[in-house]
Amino acid sequence: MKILIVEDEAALSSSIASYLKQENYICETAATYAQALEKIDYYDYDCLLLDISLPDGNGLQVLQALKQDGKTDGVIIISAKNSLDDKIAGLQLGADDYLAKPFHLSELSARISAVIRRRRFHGESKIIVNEIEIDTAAKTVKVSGKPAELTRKEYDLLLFFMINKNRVLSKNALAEHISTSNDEVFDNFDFIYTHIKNVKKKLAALGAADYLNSIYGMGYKFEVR
Amino acid sequence: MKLLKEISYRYLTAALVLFIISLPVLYLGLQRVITETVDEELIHQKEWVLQKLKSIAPEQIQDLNPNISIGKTNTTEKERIYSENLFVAADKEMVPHRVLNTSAAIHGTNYHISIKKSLVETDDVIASIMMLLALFLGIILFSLFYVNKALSKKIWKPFNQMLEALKNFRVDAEEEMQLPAANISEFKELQQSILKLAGTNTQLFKAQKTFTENAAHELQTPIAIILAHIDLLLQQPELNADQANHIENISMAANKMKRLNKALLLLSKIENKTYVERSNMNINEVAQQYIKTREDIVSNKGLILDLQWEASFIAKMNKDLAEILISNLIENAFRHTNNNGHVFIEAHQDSFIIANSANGDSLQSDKLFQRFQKQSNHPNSLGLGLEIARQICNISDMQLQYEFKNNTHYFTINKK
Repeated sequence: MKILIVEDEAALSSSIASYLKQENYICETAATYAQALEKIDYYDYDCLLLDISLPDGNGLQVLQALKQDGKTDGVIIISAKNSLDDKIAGLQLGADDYLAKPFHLSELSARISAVIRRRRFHGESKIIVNEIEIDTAAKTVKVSGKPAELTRKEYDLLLFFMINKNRVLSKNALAEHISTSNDEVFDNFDFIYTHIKNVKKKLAALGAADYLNSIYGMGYKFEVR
Repeated sequence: MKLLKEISYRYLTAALVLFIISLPVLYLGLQRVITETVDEELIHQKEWVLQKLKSIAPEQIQDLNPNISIGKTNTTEKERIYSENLFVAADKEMVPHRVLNTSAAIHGTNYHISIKKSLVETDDVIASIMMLLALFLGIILFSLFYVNKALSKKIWKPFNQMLEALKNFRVDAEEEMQLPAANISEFKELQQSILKLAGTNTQLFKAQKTFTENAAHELQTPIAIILAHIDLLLQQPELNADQANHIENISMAANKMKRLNKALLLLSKIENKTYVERSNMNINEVAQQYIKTREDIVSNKGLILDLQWEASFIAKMNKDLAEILISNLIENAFRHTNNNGHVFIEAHQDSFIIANSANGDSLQSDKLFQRFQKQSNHPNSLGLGLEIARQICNISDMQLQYEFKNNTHYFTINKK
């Protein structure tokens, strides 16, 4: 699957590309508005990551051009502005999602995955890792065909892990992923630990292997060999 | 004391002193003038007597004017005029007189001449004049006092208006300061100085606000780069525990910076009035929704929730800000309550109370709503949450108050 990263900060776009390549995405980068226009003219992408402030133009113009050409690429706006107007304008122009900088790469990866699922499979997509199967449309989890009773947050966590499988996810990334958007205060990360413990327990009860490992206390990894 | 009162009192005091001093001076002056006139008259009469003595007998002259007495004498006398109280039989009392004594030799006979003149009439005149003068002076003084007062009031009006404008001046106000037109040059100067001062301050304040917002914006990208690279570093397969520890520390600091930056950005956006769209928000619903998302922390800490929805607290405010406000306050209550503590939420028609059982003393209410005044020593606390809450209340025409009673922290949102 092809992704175009439109971002003028080379250090950021390279790290995004580097992370996504390991997820088997094919990444291309464009650092300017002109480059971005050229690329979307020649190629089709599954998803565009669009920075709003570009040295020679506005990311929203790229979005406009894309929609005028009748292209159906998924679009996620990544902006440092975190301004409501940009968000509304972007979503009205047909962007699929909006992610404010700074963000965790794992979060970006999960958003891309969601956009692609929605576009490609019209939301009816299953994510399967060995015996564990997530139906993202019905928001249900099955272990070897048996339904697992996960709470909303446990489900969100498991999906997040499976999309970012074999990746170390920091506690901050996990906490932010399952918190409500305005909730910026984390007393401690104990609640992450509690949720993960619960997920592990519930999956193990249905006979799933233990995929979730703590990595030196700094994060967790959904490890599939 | 008020300026106008002060001016009036000073004026009145000065006028009274002048008045009191001027009356005796006037009296003495008048008396002197009148005495001189009387003296001149006496001298005229003396000349007349001397003239008459040449032709008629002294007795005849005395008959013509009972105030003149002429007698023969052997001595010569120097002419002198003096005041003397003499008994007047008709009035049966002593009456002040002016007396001229002199001697003259007429046809070889030496005469002693004494002419007296009663001062009763002139004293009456002086008294009348003094009375009239005092009356007029008094009237003039008092009318001047009121004229002065009215004039001052009018003249100082621009000053008072400027004072009022200064009192109402807010450095973060949207509209420019309006001052009344002044004709007096000092007031004009004052007005210009005030306008200049206010203008500079407003500009500086605006510049500072924009600076904060710009700085926070510009920091977003570097922070994003740091976080992205931390995420990549985490994926290194050969990490050992020591390296992981370093990364963890960097990650924690970078994430705190990220949250701090977001909070600052939010604050400057609130201050810059970015959130203008308002609607009638049912705060009860906002709170209920938020509590639902935090069921995990409630059950983890074993918190006892006491929710009383007496009435719907409806606030005309921005939706996003309402959510931030309520989540900040409720999260604070959840966070700072000990395990198995109580959290109370009470909704009334015009107040919304969030309270939690304390584990110690009252918070310092004077510093509570200030930036970076942390009252907890938790490393993840930013010290911006309550400031954000207060600012949101301020721009939404509400008030956020803190109270400590019965070992419970009360945060109350009131409509203004």
